[in-house]
Amino acid sequence: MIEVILFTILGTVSGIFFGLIPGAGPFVAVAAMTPLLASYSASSIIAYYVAVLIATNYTNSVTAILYGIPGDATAISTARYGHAFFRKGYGSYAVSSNAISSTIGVIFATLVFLIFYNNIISVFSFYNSMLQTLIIFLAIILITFFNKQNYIISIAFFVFGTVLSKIGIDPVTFKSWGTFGIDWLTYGIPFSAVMIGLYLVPEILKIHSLDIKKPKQITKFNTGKNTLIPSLLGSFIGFWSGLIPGITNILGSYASAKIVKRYFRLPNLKSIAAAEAANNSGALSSLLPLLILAIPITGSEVLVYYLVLEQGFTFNSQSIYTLIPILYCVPFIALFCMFISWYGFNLLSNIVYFYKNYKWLINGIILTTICTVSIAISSVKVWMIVCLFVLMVLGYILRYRDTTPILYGFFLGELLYESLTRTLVIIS
Amino acid sequence: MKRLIITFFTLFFTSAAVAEPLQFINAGSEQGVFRQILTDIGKTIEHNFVQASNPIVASKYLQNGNAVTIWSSEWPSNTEFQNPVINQNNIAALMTYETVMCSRKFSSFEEMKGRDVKIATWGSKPIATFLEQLGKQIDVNFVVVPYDGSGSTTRGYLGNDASTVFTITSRETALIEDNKTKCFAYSEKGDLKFRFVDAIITVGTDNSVTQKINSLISDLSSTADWSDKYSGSTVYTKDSKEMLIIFNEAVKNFSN
Repeated sequence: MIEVILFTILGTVSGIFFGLIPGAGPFVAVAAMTPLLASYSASSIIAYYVAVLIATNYTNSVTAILYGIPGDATAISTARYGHAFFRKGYGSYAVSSNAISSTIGVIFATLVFLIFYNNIISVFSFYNSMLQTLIIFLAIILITFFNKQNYIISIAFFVFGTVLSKIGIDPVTFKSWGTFGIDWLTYGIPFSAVMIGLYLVPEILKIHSLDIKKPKQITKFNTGKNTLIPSLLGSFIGFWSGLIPGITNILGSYASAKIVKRYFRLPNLKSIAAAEAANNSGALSSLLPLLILAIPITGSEVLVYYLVLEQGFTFNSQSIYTLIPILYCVPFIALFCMFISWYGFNLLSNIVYFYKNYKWLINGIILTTICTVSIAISSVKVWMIVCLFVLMVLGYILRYRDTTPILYGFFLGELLYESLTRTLVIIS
Repeated sequence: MKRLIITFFTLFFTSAAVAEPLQFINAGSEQGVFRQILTDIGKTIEHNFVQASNPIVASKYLQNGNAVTIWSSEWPSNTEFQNPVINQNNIAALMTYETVMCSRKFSSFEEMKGRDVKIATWGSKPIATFLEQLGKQIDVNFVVVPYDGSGSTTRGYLGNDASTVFTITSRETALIEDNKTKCFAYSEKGDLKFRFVDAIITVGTDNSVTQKINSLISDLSSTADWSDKYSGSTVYTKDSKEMLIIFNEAVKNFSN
């Protein structure tokens, strides 16, 4: 339990920092700590991840409110309404709404988990290969069509990711695929090389291109009125949206803000409240498909999936119990994050500015550490170096694109192939 | 930028020169029993874990030596890859897993007679061959719904992918959580002429490593936790000669 608490603290600090960097979010927060996480137990990794998910959702609103730049896609509504408040001199209302409603979202999702986890398990017992095939298809459609770029490019990236994952030996038939007689290719393409080269490199290069000016300070700490109902509504919508692959809490925060905007009086502040509550609630519920069904539905979950698997974690209906001790730490994380994102807002905005001044150094350290550890723990080091080099060059070429579908393709493509094979036997 | 690149490459080569700890190489699936056993053994030994996922890639890793792995008796008959040498000096333990057939639709082979039966099990060739032969004997056409490990087989069956399942006895407790399921054929009772025999071996290590793994498994297998987890399996650790005889006999069965 002490280890879990320590990783929760680490995850909170790390989430606060990476939430502040636009585009970084939970993925970079997990990737940056991979060297450390790789040698700890699955429950510590999950504790770290839960804390990161919560903390990033608080601090990704800082740049959204200050500059109108959302920390990630889940903070779009806050960027829209919050930045408008800030420009008019009412930034303190947006800040407090973000802090309080995010906390309501977290507490809501935690209570739903703790009260209904037995029922949640029984819902997942209906899960089989046909349902898995359908979910993966749905995920592929949502990932490709809700992507920032042309869907044909997204599909091509997804297919490319799938092809990369298929290279090597089939675990069931023991037949080789896509190796062209080259011995090295029978090892397959390591996931860490794909993650670093084709996701981390383009994302870090995107972060570099952002221009951040010295921020104005918030001088008052006001609270908005009548935001409880929108927050609870957002929490409810966010929780269910979090279960949908590919779009998870992005859909929840967007839909909640839209509903509030349409049906509530004086809706702007309430929209921020609903979006932020949905965001946090959905971030927690998106863990369920990963833990119970072994289906990661966000990019950062793919990373966590591989990390916990390395520790011998078994994904089944019982694995939800791993989450329960961690959930007891959640209110403390939420309260700390509420405090820091509210009264510490000016401090956080100064950290963003500090990062801007030292981004080469910070990003260089992160990338170098991850690469070094990946090579050090790899059994075929030369092959890992070759893969990293080739994929990093490719990642540099693709730096203006959203390469997330490659990562999804790498994981979901193989899973789709396996479950489709079974489904065809089942329905034949 | 230039400095950054120099640092990056320096770290690349430094990490390549770090001394290697023992390699635990899993030739089985990510969520199967091999994985579980290696994880359990690895809790007390410093090691690097390598998820090879199949014996072909595993055999390549084993060529570097300094490794511990679990090798199935199904594999030596496959000539497409290089099997490690298994002898009295490097066999640390032997595990046999009894198998079981359960179903929510049938309660005996008799009831299956003359039917097509979808069965959740491994997608490997030896099992397909075994089920084909068994099917001929009892007049049943088994249609395999393939999985890559016992964990995923159990989950697939419980999710209703197939009405019948063939797996290791260790998974029986999970299977009968489904109230309609009845397990009716056991290899232990002679109903099924198929059991898994796997050797836990060291490759390219000192004799002391083999000894260490041997005594570790001996201790672990006497715990209640192990008995719960791997019920239906038998662990041999005492006599390496006996282990080798059992393993070679199983290899011979798969070769035929």
